[in-house]
Amino acid sequence: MSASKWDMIVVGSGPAGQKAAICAAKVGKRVLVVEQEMSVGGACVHRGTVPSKTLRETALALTSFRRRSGHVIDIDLPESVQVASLLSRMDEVVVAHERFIEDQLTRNGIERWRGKARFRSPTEVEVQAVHRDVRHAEAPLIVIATGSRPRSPAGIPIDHEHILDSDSVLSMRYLPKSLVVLGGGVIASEYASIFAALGVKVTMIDRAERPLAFLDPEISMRFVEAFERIGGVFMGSTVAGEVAYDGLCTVVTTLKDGNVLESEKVLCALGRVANVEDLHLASAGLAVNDAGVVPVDDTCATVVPGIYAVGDVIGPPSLASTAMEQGRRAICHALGMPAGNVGDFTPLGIYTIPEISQVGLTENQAKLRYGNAIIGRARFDELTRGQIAGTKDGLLKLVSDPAGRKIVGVHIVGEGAAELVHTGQMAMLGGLEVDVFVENTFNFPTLAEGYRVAALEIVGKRARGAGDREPAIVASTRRRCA
Amino acid sequence: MPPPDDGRSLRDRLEELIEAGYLDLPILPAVAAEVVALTSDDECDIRKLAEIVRRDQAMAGHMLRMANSATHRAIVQVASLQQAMSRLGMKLVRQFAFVISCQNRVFRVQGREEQLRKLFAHSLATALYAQEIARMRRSNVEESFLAGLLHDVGRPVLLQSVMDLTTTTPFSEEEIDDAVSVLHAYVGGEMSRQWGLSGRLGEAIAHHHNPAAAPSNREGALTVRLADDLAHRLDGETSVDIEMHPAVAALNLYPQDVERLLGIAEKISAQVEEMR
Repeated sequence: MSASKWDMIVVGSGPAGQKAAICAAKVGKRVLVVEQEMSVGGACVHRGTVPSKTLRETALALTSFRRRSGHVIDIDLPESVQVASLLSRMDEVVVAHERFIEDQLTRNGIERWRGKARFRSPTEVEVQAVHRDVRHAEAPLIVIATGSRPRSPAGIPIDHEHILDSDSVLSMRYLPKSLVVLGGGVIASEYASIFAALGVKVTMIDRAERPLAFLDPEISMRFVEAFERIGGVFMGSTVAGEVAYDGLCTVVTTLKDGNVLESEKVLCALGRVANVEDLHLASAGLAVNDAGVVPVDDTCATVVPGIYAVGDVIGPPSLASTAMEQGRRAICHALGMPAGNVGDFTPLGIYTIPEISQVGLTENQAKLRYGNAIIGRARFDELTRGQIAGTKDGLLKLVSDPAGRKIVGVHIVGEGAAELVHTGQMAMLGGLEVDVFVENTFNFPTLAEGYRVAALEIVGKRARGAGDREPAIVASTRRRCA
Repeated sequence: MPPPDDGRSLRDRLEELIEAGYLDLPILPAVAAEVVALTSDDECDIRKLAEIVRRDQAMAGHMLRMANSATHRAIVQVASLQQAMSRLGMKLVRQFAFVISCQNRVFRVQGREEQLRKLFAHSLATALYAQEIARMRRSNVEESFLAGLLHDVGRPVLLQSVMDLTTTTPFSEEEIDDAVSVLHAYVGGEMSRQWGLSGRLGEAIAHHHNPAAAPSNREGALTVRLADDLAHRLDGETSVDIEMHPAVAALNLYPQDVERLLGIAEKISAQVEEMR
């Protein structure tokens, strides 16, 4: 069978694949996108980011309403409220997003084949359709953007019925009375806080002492406090031994320390694995590394010339935003176009309740890099806007170099964090000093005023010649969670 | 009470019964006897009872009806058996099972019991296949199981009505088959509505022979359609090529997925056999 010829083939149509395809098409390349699902968008649109954020909006509206009314009006979700009805907007949002991506691909003249792709050589893939029909395509440039799926750890019998993973958790048709969440990463923390906000009794257990261990400890401690305030329980330094459905209506989680947790459902969110099995990487001269992901260099190029890999398939941070940027940068490199500066300024957004976002270095990282750092903080409940919104969980933390001039990190927990962080990101990208937040005017009342409050603290410390010489905070949530 | 015989066709008369709400889901005599025996015992094996309720379409249907009934309005619209058991508690499940077995009509028609037993076995096989398809698709496993279990619930309901009518008028086998085949999906949808089951479930049941007509749960109807044919394949009652089944492409199942479904035939047969 002769292979059809293309300038570029992209395997996968999630955020990374889409961006790569569109970048190449925009400079006149003939692009083929192979997608195994019925519609484009990848896990981001169908099983991850978009649907979970839709549920989160409902949960957030409920918590915000309770808080803003000063708990004068309280809403407890009736037992009959089903997840499906909470997700009623999900289908609309997903379809709208899907259509947007479809239109974008069509507008850019990108061809789409539905099927599973596998390498036959470094320049050729075979695409198998659902009914066994096979087609071949050839291109000098191939981008692997097949994404990832939830990891199924040995010993945890995920049946997508009682013991769910992050792909099946949103298929629930009713809110369980109780939920045990295994894991302390982004996905675990997001779902744990969303379901807790919806009134489900959530217990989150993780091997690490605190959830979201890569964050500034002050921020993750704030998250745990907020999570426990809405009824959640975090059990750190805890490992699940056995997880089993009792055949009636309870899942029994036996911890390694012998304690037993009973819940109606369990969500296993213990990491993700790259989707590489169907690709026959060896036929292209590729192999995964010890972490099970496709190794690439800074430009997302693999060891085989002409083959790039982008998105979750190359491992963390596994964020849609980063994946898109990787797709763009890979194409810029492959086609010899300038990609712009790569810096440490990619923000991280975590859609927990409350929201978390950061850009740049944490306090600890800054102290390691510069020997010291000056920290400025603004608590949302000290800001007029925070008072009005009844926000108690918010904190904006500004990290500067020891001279108290250069902004090296912004860390925010609280409503609107993922939007708010961009102000700090732009200041960092523009090389602006801390003083810019003091010498300029922000709208009043806004949460962005937090930047000014935090900057004032840094300027004050700078004037007194006082760096934050105290040792960096090492959070311990154990006592609280025991 | 069936209306008097006035020379109309069986289908017309059944439609009239449906319209008037004269529909009753009979229970298999053996199942009723087993549940009564189990629930009368103080040392009742609650897991065994839960398994019977979960796997027998009549017990499952009645349990959901009772869970959704006016007396238990606090748990409005129970969506699955697990949810019903969790919300009711096993003590109440046991009481309900006893009441269902004693108060509901037991199917006793000479020469038809084997047909009904087969029908119940087919429903369980469909449920087991439907839940596997749902697992692959990451759609709701409990709902898919229930849709498979209840997809043909209209058949025993209609057969019971036919038997009631036959006491006054004899009908040919062809006439009975035709009427039951044409009406069963609609009756199944109606029963699920009367029992207060979710609209999604009702759609999957009512449209399992024509998934394209399902307004909002096409995936559910397609899942049942495919599971139904896979279950018929177990009984050697269909020659449908599963690989080329229209639902396979519509559900985005690749040859590897279809092979997995075909590969669990023995396991499903064994599970069905266990319940006989």
